[in-house]
Amino acid sequence: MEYGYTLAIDSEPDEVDDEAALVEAAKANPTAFEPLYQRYKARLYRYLLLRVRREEDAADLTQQVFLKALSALPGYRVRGIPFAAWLFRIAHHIASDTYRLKKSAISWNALSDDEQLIAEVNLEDLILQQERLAHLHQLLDQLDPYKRELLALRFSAGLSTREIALVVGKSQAAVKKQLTRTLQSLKEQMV
Amino acid sequence: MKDRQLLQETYADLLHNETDSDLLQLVQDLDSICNAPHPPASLNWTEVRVMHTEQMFEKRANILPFRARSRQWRPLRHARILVATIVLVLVLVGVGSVAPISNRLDGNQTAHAYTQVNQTQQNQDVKVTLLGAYASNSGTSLVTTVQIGNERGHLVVPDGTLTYQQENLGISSGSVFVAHVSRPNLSCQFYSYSAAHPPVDARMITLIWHVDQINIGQFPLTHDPGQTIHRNWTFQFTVLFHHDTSSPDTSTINLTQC
Repeated sequence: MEYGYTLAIDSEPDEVDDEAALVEAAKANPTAFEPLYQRYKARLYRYLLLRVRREEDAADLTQQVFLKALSALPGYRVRGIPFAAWLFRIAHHIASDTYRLKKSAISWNALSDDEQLIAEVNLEDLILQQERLAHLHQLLDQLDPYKRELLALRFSAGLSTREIALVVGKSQAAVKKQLTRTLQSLKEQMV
Repeated sequence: MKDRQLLQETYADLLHNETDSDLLQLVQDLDSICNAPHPPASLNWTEVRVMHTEQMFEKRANILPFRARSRQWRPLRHARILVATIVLVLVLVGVGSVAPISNRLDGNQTAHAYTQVNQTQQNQDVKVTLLGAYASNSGTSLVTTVQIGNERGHLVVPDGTLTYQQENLGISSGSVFVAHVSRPNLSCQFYSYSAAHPPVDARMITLIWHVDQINIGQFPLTHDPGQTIHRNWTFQFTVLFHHDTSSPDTSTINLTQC
């Protein structure tokens, strides 16, 4: 599968230049890929975790994505195209090809420890917060896979709507509309 | 948890300066849930790098990463392979081997995927390059090249000690195989150390190879037969540890591409 793009989109010039330099260095020498690996490891893992719902699988897939990226890197073209979008497109395909999105319960371990360490919040507020987050987890589990993917790309991967559009192969307007509708729907179900 | 202002900045495309507190809370909760998990410590760059280099080796069908420098070597290629084979036999008789010769020349065995190392150490005019390694329960095979100044055509054998976690893995009667004189000034050698204390449970191991002498071949490839250079070169590298008992001997590597 080819992962190169020729579309030009707007990006922060400094970010593009910085990433472009890292990518060019990595293309010349794969060992120079490490800065990119460190930069995207956490975001990629979190995105995949939200997609496959199992920590062990997410970890395996994360490594697979980076391996695939290393192999496909010679085909990547730096022309103002976000490297992030290219990388997460690989992740998107690998996750889609490898796993069916299943409904599964999220363990409490998946919640951040920060949720439990808010010392300034009284106990009642903390319990309410945990209940709210647990409810949101359930709603995410029941969510349509495509909508959950959009949320994962926006919140876990931290991609812009333009980058998300490149990953999922839709227009930016369609992505933005879908995200807005999904949030609205979730908000109504949370009340 | 992000404060509200940071939340507005991060998700401006979703919030549109909304004052809807329910929407703000939802976005905050999604931000918390989606950014909470931390990647496990097992996710590390070294593993990816090693696996990638191993894949590259396999893709090349375990052909050494050499390319013929120029067409002028081609006419001599078969003669050099013949000479190298003769050298192999003579060296094995002289030095001994850890594997039967019948195995050594068997071209039907599955090639092993060496982990690329590509470290070079230079001491005065002698440059030793550790190209790759294959570590298993049976031993560790090291792929090396040696360059001595501008001289060409040497059969050169680096010799030293291989250490794992400060434990000397020992040196068996090393087997040497001259793969090919692929370029001017370089010759290729493989040799194995028998693992005295193999790291049975390790997935990846870090080895230290301390070379303390270079033995220049005793055969007509060099005009300084039998010379030994006593100097020091040290390599530290991490490779995959293969939990198989097959000997990582050199006969399973296709050398014709050299």
